[in-house]
Amino acid sequence: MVQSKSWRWTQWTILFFTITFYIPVIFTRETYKRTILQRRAKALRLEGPPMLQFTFGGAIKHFLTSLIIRPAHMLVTEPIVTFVCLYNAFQFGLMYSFVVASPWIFQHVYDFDLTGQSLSFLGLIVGTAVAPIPLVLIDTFLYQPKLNSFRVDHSEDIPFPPEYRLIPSMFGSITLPTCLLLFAWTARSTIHWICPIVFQALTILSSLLVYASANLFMIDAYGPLYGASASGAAMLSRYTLSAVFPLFSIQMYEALGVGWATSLLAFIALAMAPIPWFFWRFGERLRARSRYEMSS
Amino acid sequence: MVGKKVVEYDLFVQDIAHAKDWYGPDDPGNPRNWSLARAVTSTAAVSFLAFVSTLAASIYSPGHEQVQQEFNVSSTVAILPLSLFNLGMACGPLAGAPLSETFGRKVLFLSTTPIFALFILGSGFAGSLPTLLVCRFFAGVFASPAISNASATITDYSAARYRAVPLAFYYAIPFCAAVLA
Repeated sequence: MVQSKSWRWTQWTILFFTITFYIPVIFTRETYKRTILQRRAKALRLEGPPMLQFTFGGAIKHFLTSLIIRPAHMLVTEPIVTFVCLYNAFQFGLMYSFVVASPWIFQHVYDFDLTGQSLSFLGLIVGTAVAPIPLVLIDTFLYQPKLNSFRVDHSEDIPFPPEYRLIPSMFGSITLPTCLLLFAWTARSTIHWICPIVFQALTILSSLLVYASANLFMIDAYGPLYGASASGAAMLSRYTLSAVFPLFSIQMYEALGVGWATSLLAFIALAMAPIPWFFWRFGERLRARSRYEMSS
Repeated sequence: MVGKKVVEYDLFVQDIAHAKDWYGPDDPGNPRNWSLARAVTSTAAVSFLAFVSTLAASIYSPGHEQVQQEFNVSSTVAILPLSLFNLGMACGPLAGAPLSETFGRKVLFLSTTPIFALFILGSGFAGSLPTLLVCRFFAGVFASPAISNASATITDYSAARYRAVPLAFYYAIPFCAAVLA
């Protein structure tokens, strides 16, 4: 999008988008239960939801626990949180490596000029744009029927095993390293550039399958209260990796070349591929042992 | 149509004796009872705001070579405004989550986004690298609630079993934004 006269324009573009997308949010409704009930109580002069009676110190303690201490504790003591965070942080690291390195790759292998460099994002854009399609299809044709047949002979208060959320990431765990390797070794001047673009699209698609379904699995496994802390741990770890990866990705590509640098990423993806399969097999046992788990 | 809804709501609240919890499963105030249209538009609205927040991280990436020349720094240092933004995003929930639990989701969206925009404005005018780094970091901090709060908003009105579809789109958004730049 930007081959502009000045990098400052990248920031103005953001301002423009911010204003445009801020306006619709003004017209949305509040969704937080406590806030809605408090406003109702005030408007109708009724008894409201039980107040959170906090002293200042108590409030600090509450938020320290739920935002730093508990996420950190879950990150080291809960294998589900540890490995979902690790796997998902890698997906973000991979994506930001591509964001920084993709123009470099296509410039060095195919001599793309500045306009061509925007073309180097084509695969990534198409890959992410179509990713919701397999996610919705898997949900409609695999997850919902499983859930329906489970409900036939289980009552409503027996929770449906969250492991079924993992189906897309089990697909993705296999296709991710495969497509990364194919991207690595088709990105060469003797092969048409559309080949690596297609494999890059499939890579980022697989990455999203893994990311979305592993996240859903974790949220379902820990329920609303601890799920928020688990998500906090995930957010902290994935943005830390996405801060770190771009700092070395171009150097890595310069030092190893496109083939081996991408292969290195593929090997990491391969090493992490057993994660969803492991949870599929042992998730129930892990949840039973957890200090936090409550799948309701 | 809208008028009819308002009348129904007024009739409903006449009958309730407290607001301690939802008044039965059909409480029209409960976001889980929203119409499909409202849920879809709300998902779109908060996802697009989350989209902008992530776009802000990576849109900087093509500009880093110009920054390298303008401020005469190494290429790794020129990537820092991208990295620090992401690091800011990692720190953001520390402030965002308590505010969201105290004042509600919408207030948080509406209050942090303008602060984020101000720091982006500062980044655009930055005359030195330290100014740029500081502005990008705090832009990241104030961009982050729009992202964590968006998934919280979506789960507020979608029951567990139907969560996968709206979240599929929501999860695709940051990836999409990151690469679109």
